[in-house]
Amino acid sequence: MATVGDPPRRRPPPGPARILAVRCPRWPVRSLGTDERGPVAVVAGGSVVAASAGAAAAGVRPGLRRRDAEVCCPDLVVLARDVAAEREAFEPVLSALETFGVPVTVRAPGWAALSVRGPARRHGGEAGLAAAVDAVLGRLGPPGRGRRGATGGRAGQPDARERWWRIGVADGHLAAGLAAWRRLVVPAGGTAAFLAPLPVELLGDPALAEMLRRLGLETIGAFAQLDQGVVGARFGRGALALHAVAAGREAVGPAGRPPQPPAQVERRLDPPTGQLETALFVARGLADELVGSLRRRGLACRLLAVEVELADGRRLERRWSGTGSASPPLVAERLRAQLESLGRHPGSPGVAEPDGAAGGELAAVRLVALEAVPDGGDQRSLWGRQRTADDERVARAVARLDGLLGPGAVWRVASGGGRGPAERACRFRFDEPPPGPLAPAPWPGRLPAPSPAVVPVTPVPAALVDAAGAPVRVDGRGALSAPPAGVALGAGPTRAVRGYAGPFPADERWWEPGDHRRRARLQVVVAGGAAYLLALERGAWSLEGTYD
Amino acid sequence: MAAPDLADPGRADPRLAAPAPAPAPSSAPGSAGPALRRPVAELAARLRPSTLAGDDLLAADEALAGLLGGPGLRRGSTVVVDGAAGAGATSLLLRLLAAPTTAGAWCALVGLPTAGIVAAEELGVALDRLLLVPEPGGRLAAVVAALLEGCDLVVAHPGGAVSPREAARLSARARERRAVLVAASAAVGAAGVDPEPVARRGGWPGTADVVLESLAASWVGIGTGTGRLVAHGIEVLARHPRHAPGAPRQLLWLQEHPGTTTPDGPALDGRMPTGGRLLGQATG
Repeated sequence: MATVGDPPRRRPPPGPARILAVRCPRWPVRSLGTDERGPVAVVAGGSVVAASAGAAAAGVRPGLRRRDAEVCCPDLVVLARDVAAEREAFEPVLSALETFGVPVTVRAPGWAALSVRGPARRHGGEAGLAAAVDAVLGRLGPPGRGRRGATGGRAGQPDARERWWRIGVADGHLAAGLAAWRRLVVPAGGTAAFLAPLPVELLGDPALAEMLRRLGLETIGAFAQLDQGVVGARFGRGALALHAVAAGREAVGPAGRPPQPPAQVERRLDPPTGQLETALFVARGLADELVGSLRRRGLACRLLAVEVELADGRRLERRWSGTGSASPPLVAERLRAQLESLGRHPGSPGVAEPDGAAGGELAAVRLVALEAVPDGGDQRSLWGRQRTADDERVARAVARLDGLLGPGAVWRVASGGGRGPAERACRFRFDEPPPGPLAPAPWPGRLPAPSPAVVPVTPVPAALVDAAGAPVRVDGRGALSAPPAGVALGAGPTRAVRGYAGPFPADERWWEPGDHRRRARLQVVVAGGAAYLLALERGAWSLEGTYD
Repeated sequence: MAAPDLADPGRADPRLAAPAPAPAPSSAPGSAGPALRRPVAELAARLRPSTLAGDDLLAADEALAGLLGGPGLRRGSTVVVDGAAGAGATSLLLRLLAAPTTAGAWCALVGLPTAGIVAAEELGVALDRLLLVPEPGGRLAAVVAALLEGCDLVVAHPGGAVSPREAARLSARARERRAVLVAASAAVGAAGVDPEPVARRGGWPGTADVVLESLAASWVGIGTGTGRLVAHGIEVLARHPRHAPGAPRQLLWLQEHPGTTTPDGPALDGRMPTGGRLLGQATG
């Protein structure tokens, strides 16, 4: 171990992992095996997801609405997005990367990454490794050709010599992905400097980017210079992780550590099975088990390793990132992909057939949660309650409403501290965690139950008059100037007061000079049985609630 | 937990758990008239279908059982909550949500930005099972339809924005999804600032299985400058347009108050409960 003052030479300080990323630009289009020069766009949800080089030259950009894209480029060929096909077309790339002997992490179809540390030693450094990866991918041929029913015939043959992939090396996944865009090998420790001039949008969080732009922070470097504590307090936990990325310190910090004790589940199949259905069933059960055990510890899996072992001893481990990566249907889908990949591995004849692992029988499946994060926003069940099928149903209905009304139209409520009926109701969005339970505190001046069942959204001015028609006031000692005889709400008529109670004074935040409020509340029952809660502040009465 | 006692009506049915009836006395058939009739009655009880329509219920407050004609809200039904301005229709609606949310059912309030959350909690609503869509814009029908897919009870406050056709379609959706649709009239959630337009704006343009109408409110505990509001009593009229011709009427006390029992009489009798004056009687 190094002592103080002695620079550690053998072992680098624990820092962000060196990552090599392979990214395929315009993958939704590429994976279809179409000609890059032709005007092709892939559309999902009414807007363009990716456009071929030919379409891009005509001005078709991702994010453009389909109709606008067709105006830009009248002979545009529009295809619907097929994520399953994108995954399938990416399989050969993953198989090729796995020949380097380290687990491959799939960020998304068209974006894979592997850890540099081991393979770089064998290939003469990072640049050597990048060249080796480049050579391996060069032997693959253009993507999407083997796909049945591809539209290649119409759009012509893609150019076989064209490089459809990009390779980059940097500290951490996100930086490596950005380095791959520019085909760069960023030296160790130089990631922050590499990221600094890039626009904040490239961090991949549009809401945060918009906010930073409004604050005048236009580059990742400017964001990185903010104080970490300030970022956490102002922008929340998600931004804190991105702030670490911006500073070149991805995945260092409390988030993203392997869970302690480690969380893994394994099932050995005896006898080994050749049935894909059985394998998928086992995978779903295992995923359920893993998610359940993590959830009991308040964690969610962010990086999952799926390891399969065949009866003939071959093994394949692949890593999948993203929260929700351990959800049972996704795990089953990944296991299927891995078995098919094993099936078409060199050494086993033939290609993977959809009815099972052609290369052998499945002997064991293991799922390991490599990184876990505190389960906050992903979990909507409250107060330790297990999330039930009902909750899932509600979450789906809310997701539909988000599509219908825009995100954030659905609220949930809790009661909080305060005195008036409006301040005591605490609203939060459906996907936000609820406010923590409140410590019991005295609220002098709070009225006991019942509370008004109707609380106006905007304050309604009110006029309270005595028998002579003069306005009723409350003096400094909390006494009414005269018994109220009539009340008029908004522009309504004056109604006779049949009973009243109060005034109940509330002296709020007297210790804060700017926030100090003095109010007096009065309950009033008018002829007809309706009851109102009126509040007097700075000499003016207003309607705080209706006891309806 | 989604109301397990409702999910499995067969197990909750005491008839099924009861032991087999004693064998009928086969000897001396002529002498035992009443002894024969008893096994016949038991047999008839056992032959009744084990899942009755009434078993498929969403929990409701005991105090509302008399008005609803049963121990709960029938799933798939449409309930209209109506009332005069200031007569307690909002409280009645919130009270309707108390038992289902407490039993674990999800409820949603659409188009009621003024609903008092603190009052809802005081009336027994479990807020962690409540969704709010305060501003559905002009798409109330679509929002309610989407929520009926996920929630057990959806309160829609149309405010004149639902056509008779849409109303019929929403009722059909509720029936199909075994959820309860509660249509709130314009009086629900109205601050009572301007009572005139509330009375003129129409209610639910469709049909209903139950119409609950709050006719008048009375208050206990408030005087002229003394006391405070303690207990809210509302007089509720329940109509069952499809079934019973009679309309039960009940004075429902939303808060407990010592010294009075819930009177069964058709109107408030004006008796003064302990410590306060009964105010604001009104006729429907």
